[in-house]
Amino acid sequence: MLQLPLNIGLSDAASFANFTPEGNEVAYAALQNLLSRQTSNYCIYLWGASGTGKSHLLQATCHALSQAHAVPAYLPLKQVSRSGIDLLEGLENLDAVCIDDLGAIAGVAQWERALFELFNQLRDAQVPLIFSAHAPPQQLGLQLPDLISRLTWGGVYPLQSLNEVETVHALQKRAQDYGWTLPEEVARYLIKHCARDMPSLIAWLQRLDYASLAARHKITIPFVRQLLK
Amino acid sequence: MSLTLWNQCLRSLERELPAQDFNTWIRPLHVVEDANTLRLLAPNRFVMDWVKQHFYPRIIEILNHIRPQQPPNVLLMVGSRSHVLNNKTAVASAAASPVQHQQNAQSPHLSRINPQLTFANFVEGKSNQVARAACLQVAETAAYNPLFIYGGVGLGKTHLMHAVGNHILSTRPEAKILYVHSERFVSDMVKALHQKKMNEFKRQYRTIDALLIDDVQFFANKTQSQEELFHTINVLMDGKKQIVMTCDRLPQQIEGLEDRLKSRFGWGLAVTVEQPDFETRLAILMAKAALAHVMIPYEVGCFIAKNIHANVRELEGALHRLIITAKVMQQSITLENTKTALKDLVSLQMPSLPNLSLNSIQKTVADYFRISLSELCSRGRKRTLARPRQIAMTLSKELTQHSLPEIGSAFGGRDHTTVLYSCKTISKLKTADQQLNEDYANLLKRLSA
Repeated sequence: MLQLPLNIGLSDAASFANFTPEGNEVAYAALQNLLSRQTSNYCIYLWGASGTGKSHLLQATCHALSQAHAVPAYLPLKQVSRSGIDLLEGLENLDAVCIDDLGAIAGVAQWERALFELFNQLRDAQVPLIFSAHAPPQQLGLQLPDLISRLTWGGVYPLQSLNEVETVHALQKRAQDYGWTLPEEVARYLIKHCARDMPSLIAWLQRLDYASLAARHKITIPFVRQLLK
Repeated sequence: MSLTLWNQCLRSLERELPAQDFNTWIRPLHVVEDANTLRLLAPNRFVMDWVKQHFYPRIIEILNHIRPQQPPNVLLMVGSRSHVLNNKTAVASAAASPVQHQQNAQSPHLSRINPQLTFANFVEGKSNQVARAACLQVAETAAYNPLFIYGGVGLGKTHLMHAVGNHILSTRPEAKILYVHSERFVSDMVKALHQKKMNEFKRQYRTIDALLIDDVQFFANKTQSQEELFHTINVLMDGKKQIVMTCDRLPQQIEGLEDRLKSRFGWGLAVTVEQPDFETRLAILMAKAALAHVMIPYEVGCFIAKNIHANVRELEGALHRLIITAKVMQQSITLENTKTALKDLVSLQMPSLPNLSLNSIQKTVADYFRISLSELCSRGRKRTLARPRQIAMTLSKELTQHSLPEIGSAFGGRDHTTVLYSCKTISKLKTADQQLNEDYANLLKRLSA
């Protein structure tokens, strides 16, 4: 009989500690530099394909700033752009603003103008601004040249997907954060048989964690195979 | 105490909510305690309403659970902590908060001049020397009023404008100078209208010694703001106060701008800032590196200046990236490392074609559209001629180092403003007209081959 584990809601907040910077050390360092104010720069732009860690880094930034009693905002434009540009008002009073999925508003004149204005305000107020998107500013389909040029100002950093070895390490690290050990062969099996992007793999990891607790079963390849079925 | 209380609440919310919701709606809340009251300050009304609707009951529940004996009185409003700490009355009501921000922001004593942008650290070159000289004259003797600086993005217009402000302040520290971006002028005015504080708004903008207003093209189609700007300019000009404006084009070319404003903008002197040539880009890069206390070898500077040529901001962005890469890799900055570090940035740039002449561009475009070279450079205004001509002018500007007057001259002795207008037109049409976009891409391919 299955035992339902207590949902103690382990925090799965994206943090710098559970980010695997291999292959993306420069982007990672640029972000850390910005946050520690070791630069006169107030903006950076991260871009990469889905699953390369853009949202993770932006949310980790919010997490780290909150830990330091600062007040950041995270705006995933794919989700919130329908709400209208009023959402951007007053953000210059915060300590940092992270804007995810910039491509979601590309070509929408009202949003491009509003972000251009926000950029100017945050720069005047010296508030760090971090953008992420699936392509560099020049290839995002933005129509406002004033915005495009500003997006390149603080440096444009590509993010690469992790290779297989790095993905195994990242999954093992994440499992460790959850309090259990993920055998390397199981990690490789997951990578081979599931969608390879990190969000999907982490979702599987959580499912695996829950299922093994419920079944009181060790995490092995046969157990994972059963679960995947 | 309340921070601890709020932190406990935060921990619970962080566990319960999806990370994205938590980061978007809960983290941006400032928290301030007053006696037994917990004030949650949202950055704007939208966030406040969202939190109220989706999370407020749960927040109350959690707080009551954490401190059941003496549950805090929780107030949700618009505002920010720094502002509340500065002025307690400001949080008297949710609506009062943004007004206060605005009042602070509009104070004429807050010039918003960036002290780092001076004439001393502005790198002069062929592309900007006239504009620089005019700005310096304005700063020293108020020679031209208004001074209108126009040109493309990221070429140093804003730097020059701040330099004027800083120079005036260095000789007259008591001078009230205000730098404002056009979008901010408009939004300040809209807020003042909503708050019925127009008199205050007018007083703030009309009692200064110099108004520096950036990117005035954004006034286009904003009738009420144009009206206000027109009267502001009149009052300042009557009082012999200095006005400096920047724009991406000449006043006459701003569509959706009242004629009387165009005429005011053109009363003084209009100067252009063009794309910097190679030498200027190199000098800018070296100056920026020196400011960052980084020595970059000459050949590295040449490589970047040659390959990153769209605007100064991109140049600066490339430098930031180079510096951080060298630091992370613990390598010195060499030409080889630079080529590797900036590989993707360089490939994003338009192909650098030093040998491409205006004549070869004209020939290629004429061949492509099956018109003669003389027709391409003629005065003919038929669309079948005008469009290829505009495309050829745009390609000439994009792919060569020739100045706008040089390009205009090669196309039948046209004015540089015609070239600028052509570039703007083609840039707009590239998004609206698929055929034209394709033609442009094909021509680029041919010319790069």
